[in-house]
Amino acid sequence: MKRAPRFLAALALVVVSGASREALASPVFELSGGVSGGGGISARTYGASAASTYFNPALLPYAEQSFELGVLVLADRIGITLAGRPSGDVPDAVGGRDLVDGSGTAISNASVPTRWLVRGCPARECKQAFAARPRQADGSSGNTRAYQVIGLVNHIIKERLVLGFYALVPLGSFTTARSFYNDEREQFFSNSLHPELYSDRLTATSLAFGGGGKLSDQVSIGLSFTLNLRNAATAGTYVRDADDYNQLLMTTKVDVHASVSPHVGVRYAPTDWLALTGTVHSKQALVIETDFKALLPSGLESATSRRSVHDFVPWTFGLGASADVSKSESHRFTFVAQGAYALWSFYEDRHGESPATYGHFLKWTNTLSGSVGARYETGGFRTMLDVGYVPTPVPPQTGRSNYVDNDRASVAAGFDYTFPVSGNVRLRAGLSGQAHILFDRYQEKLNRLIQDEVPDDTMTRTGQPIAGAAGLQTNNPGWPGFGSHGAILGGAASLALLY
Amino acid sequence: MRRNWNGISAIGLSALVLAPLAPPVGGCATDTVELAGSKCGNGIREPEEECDVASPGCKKCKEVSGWACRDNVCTEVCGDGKVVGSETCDPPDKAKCDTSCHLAAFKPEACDMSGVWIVRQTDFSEANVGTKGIQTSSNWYYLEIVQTGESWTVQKSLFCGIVVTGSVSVRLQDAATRALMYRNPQADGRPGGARTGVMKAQGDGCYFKAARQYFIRGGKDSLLPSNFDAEPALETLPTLPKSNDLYDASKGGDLSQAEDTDADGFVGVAYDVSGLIAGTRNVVQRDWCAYESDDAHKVPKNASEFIARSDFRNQEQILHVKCSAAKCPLLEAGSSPSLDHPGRVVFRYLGKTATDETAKAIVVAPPGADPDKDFQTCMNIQAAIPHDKASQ
Repeated sequence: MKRAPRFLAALALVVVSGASREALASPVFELSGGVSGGGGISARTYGASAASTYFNPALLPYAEQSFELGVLVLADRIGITLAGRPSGDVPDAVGGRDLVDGSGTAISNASVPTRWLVRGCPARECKQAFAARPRQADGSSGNTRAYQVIGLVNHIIKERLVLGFYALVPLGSFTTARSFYNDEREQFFSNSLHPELYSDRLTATSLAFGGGGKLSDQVSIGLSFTLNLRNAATAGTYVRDADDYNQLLMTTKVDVHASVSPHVGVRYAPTDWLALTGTVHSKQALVIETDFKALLPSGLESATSRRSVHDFVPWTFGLGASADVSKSESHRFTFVAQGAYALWSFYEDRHGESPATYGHFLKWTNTLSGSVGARYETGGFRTMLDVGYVPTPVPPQTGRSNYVDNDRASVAAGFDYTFPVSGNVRLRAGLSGQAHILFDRYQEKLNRLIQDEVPDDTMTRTGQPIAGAAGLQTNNPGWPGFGSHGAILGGAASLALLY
Repeated sequence: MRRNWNGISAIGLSALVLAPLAPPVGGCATDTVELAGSKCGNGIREPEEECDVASPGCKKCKEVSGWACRDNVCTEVCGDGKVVGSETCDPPDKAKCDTSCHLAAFKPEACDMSGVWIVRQTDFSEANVGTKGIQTSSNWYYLEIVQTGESWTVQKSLFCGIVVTGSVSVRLQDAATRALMYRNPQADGRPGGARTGVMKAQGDGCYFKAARQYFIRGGKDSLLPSNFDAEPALETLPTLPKSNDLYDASKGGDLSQAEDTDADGFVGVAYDVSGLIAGTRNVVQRDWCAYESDDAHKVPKNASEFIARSDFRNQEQILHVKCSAAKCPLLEAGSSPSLDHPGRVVFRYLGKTATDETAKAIVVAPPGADPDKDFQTCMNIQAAIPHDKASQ
């Protein structure tokens, strides 16, 4: 009996260290915590249920055999306020694409006139009308989303080998991935800022499966996985007419590769009133690799590759403890505390770029977050209350980048009631609610760190200076500064069949 | 702020059950853009202002209808039906109101070409630079014409430059325009004699025709026909020069008939290319054009401005390419006329002579005496009948 657990532990370490790859990631799990089963936002430590499959599979041996369904609703209301622009407009002359710098070299096409973004470019001025893209007119917050909660716990060998499955499936799009840029490049698209760790991340399908088992009365371990997907697409195009993309010929080849991203947990109970937990969650992300090949009538063939990274969840190490401060046959009152250290310094944004590329001082920081809570049980009734705090890994955005994120305080509360149905079969109905407050944050840019999109010596090809070229010109939507605040509110209802 | 309620219908009853748990979410936080304080009247166009300049086209820092303000300079919009600023008519009517929205110089003689004319020829090409996009080109000219009976003859001419737009923008460098102003004459020196044409009454309007004119740019005159009026096809003429390496002029080529017209150190004439790609191309070009009125281009009587059909063929050989990269394949591609897009030519009458009051606003001095003044006249002509970007 001792060899098997060692083997499992060794296997877990090997898998964790070597198999962490692109995944169908779980940002919704990390935000919402265990929405059923009493785990709350301390689910890495307490609340054995199907949700433990993701948060700490070592708790699965303590979960009752069950099948559960539920609904989670999350409403994100994150407001972004852009500071007014006192100057800095890109001149209209840039739209003519016939300007050079002081050395006579044509200036790059990295910008459009600010007026085009604000009011659009009329057809009489542009060959075809350019639609207006006002700042922050296409933000991505203010959504209410619903998710199907699915959970399953099965004791293959009672308490020794327990399998679990837990999923949050969005009721709507299966997963939406929106790869916005976090700097002046976004001017060509939404020209807006977006909450970096929410927005489309809240549409991710989260799915975990795994198992756990008791090694002894004091120690249990578990290993679970989130499903990995890596999408590789090749798009070949023939550009017959650069002015008319209706004539574009295109073929695509899409490959979807699946693997798993592992997570391990351990629970150690030195006494009958105290339990300690440890967890390791490996990196998760949904990666989309796209190769573009364009063939022109001249025979020129040009190719490039792009890598998008969505729903990034970093390596996270958790420790926790739960203590029964009052316990009898009729009731139990428990305190729970946990901390998690997340390696956000390895973050890759939606374009696969590290924030450090904007400057070492803009590199994200690792975070230490924590939560405390209380649980009370009596008869078939259970209730829970958690409060937690998650600092933002995003440093002040003084440069080109516009990663929007805030320190976050969370509170979660809920209750459930178990009533008999027939024999050993029982039903457990639960309701829970959660609120996440994103504290006010304002960030001001430093002009010297901003990309000047029009060099000061820009002139026409005939040597005429152009108005408005002196100083800083930028269409970076986050310049000269921005603020953010808001809340994410949620509620869940669940029904579990215990047998 | 955008609200997305997708998914709510799918959860139906469950959402109703949870409604009390999804508390005060409306109006909790919204996206906003603050206004920066701006001072209207300080002469600086600030982001909330459309303009901030002393102009009748800018009132209270807002664009006035009939005007367009770009980079804090407001100009009249010709063609919007509003007579503002220096406009004396709007919209243009091809007769009394010219395409710059000024009342045209009066042409008292019906169906008569005698006098001073400025001309913009608009043609269409394909694949000038790499892609099959349609390129719209403008060629400008100054012509002094004398008509006898129903025939007219060019007495004096200037070539005034080329601009091309489309997927990219192409402009003949000023030095090349200066060097070509007196080349390919349409009067004395034209092989076969001065360019002629017909202008005569036809129905309630006029019939107009101009003989074929050949041009060579960046090559020697020996590449042109010996008699233009024989109208030989371009393919029957001597082969255009060709270089062995577009990036290394020292490698030579079949360049005996090429010339460094603009004296920039490379054979051919130099064009600046900008837009999707940027760089300089030296080319040798040979083309011809001929004009005629037709049902789609009718010439009214007494018209001081009219539009006729332009027929155009061209040949081009790229001799040298320069760009910021080591190689610029897109700059290496040539062009060919787009036969699906018929060209057009605009003739605008300025007066009986170059010294008429109506001509002085454009013609700095009678052409032929001072190249600098003639170049300025050419720039005025480009401004008077500006490049028309339309691809039809």
